[in-house]
Amino acid sequence: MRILVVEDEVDLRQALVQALQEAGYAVDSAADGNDGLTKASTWPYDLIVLDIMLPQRDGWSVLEELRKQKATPVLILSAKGLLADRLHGLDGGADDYLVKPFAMMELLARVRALIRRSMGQANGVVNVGDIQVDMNRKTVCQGECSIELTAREFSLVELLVLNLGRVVSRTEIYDHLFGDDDDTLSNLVDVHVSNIRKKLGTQFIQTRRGQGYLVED
Amino acid sequence: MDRGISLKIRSLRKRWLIWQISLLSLVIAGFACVVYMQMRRLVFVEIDSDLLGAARVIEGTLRAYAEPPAQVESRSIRGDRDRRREQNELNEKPLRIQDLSPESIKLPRSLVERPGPPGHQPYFIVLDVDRNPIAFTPNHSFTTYRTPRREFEFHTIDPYREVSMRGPGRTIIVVGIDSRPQIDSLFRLAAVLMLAGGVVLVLGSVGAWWMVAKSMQSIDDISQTASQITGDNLGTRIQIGEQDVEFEQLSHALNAMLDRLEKSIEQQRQFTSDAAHELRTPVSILLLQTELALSRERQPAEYREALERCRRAADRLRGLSEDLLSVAQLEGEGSVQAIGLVDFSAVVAESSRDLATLAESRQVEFQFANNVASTTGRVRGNEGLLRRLVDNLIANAIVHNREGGSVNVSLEAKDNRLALQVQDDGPGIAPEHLSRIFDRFYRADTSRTRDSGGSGLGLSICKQIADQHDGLLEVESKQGEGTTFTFSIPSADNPA
Repeated sequence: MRILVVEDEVDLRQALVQALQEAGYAVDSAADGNDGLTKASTWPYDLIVLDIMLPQRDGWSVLEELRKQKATPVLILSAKGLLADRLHGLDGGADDYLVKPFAMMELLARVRALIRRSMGQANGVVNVGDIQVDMNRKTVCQGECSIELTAREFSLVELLVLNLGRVVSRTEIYDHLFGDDDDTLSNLVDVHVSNIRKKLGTQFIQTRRGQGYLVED
Repeated sequence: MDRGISLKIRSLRKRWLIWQISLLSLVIAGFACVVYMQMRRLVFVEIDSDLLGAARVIEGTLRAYAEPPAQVESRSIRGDRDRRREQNELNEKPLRIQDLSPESIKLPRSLVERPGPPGHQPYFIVLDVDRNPIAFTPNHSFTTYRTPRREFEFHTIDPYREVSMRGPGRTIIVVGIDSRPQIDSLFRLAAVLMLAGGVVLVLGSVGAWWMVAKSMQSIDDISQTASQITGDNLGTRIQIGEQDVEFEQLSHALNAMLDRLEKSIEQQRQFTSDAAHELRTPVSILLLQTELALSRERQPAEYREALERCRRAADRLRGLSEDLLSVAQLEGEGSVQAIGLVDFSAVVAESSRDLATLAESRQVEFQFANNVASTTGRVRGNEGLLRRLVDNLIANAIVHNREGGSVNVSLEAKDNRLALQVQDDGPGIAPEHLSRIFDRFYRADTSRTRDSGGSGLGLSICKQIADQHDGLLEVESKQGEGTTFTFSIPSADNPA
């Protein structure tokens, strides 16, 4: 899953990026409103974490412009905690509003919920055959035993499970799995898929030649 | 205060009412008394003149019988009249009963036939020199009579009013009348006066009560409005309608006070909210960074990095809390700060020396020109605060400058004032920000100021310090060309 963090405060931005990366997300960041809006309208992010008080273009304006083009989920992360601000944010098109200071666990939980919801999945735990994918704890189990996946591999499984029954193209996978800074090789997706198949069996992820990959219900 | 014992009435309404009613009662009673006394006097004057008239008629009748007195030559031309009369009387030949016919002595008709209740008819008696009655009204009992000391005397033998008069031939004429009908009518008058006074008093009291109630209504309205006003609800104002002028003035004054109060509370609230808001970001960094660092095992370098970020956040919190404290101190105890003679030129020189290092590290060219002799560079004020102001201005100019820019600090004496000028050739401040540059937490450019660790309070603190020193802090700026802050303060050394 790919997330954009728009925050002008250097230390906070870096910490946010690190926290989200360690939670298995591909993360891009922007230090001001204009950069944020450009990135948000260019890439298909799964979520945007948006600060309000930004130089050059404030968060309200970024949100307004973004909503003219896209429905990307937006989580506002702001020091402005008044009811009026929260209402303004949510009514202005934001999907969630978190007031600083916040707990990292809560931020991550909200990020998970927003991404899950935007993909039309209400449950954080999905069963496909005898395989159980727990997106909250980032674990995959087959029957009773737990299966070790790398963060990337899990992200790929998560993406396919969230798009259950739908073919996900390779480009889509690239866009959602790798951030700006990742040096990606064109066949990296195939490598990940083959690794997952080794661990979960060949039937879990199916290939639609020329279209992409699919996890069937 | 013991309310049970205290006799003082603490309700203005009651006191006012009691005062008004007492005053009204006094006026009514006084008026009634005057009217009654006047009427009484008139009644008796009338009786007395009737009695005297009757006595004179009898006197005239008697005089016909009396012989004229022997003429006595008075030794002094201007002799005392009374004495002469006395002598005349003494010389008079006494008139006795055998000298006249008593039937001829009668009261004048006008007095006798005067309408009145039966049994209250006037009466008379004429006594001779030996106090034997010569003539009198039958069926009337008389008291004893003295010789009047003057020509005639009035006296009251309740309920009779009498006049006794020296008649011719050393007789005494007494005419009397029962004054009960008059006294009765006077009683009736008193009763009417009391009744009327009572009615007026009641009406007046009701009127007074109404007036007091009406005036007090305004006070009640005001106090009711006031009781509705709380810290959360300062918007309520006293309705100004058809009040008395005095209460309207009071209401206006209270409303104006509420306006000021609301404004200052609003400012306070804004300040608190801004301060809380400023605290949130560094606290967020601290929380997120520590949570993140503790979430898994990490390399020493990562821990170091996390600690570094935490230190920066803590540093910002420290700076912010110090600034907040300064603001509070300047506001609350500003006048308590130690005031003395401060060598301002030395303060500026010291600050410039210390901050030259900062300029160097930021690659900003720094120059200081002191055009004030150390003997004339003194001002009255608090050294710590002035140092803070100078430090803030110079540090701002350095930090907000561009790389390779320059900062010129100069101190000059002019018109009994010292003027410190801090000039930079940085990016300048946009006109729309310039007017608000001294507002608390106001930042022309959020990101840049935050990078330099400012709390957004620095310039507002400078302004506060300047105000406390009768100083003037002004700013001029042109975008792209630079900014000049000028601080001028009255000099304590008057040039000879």
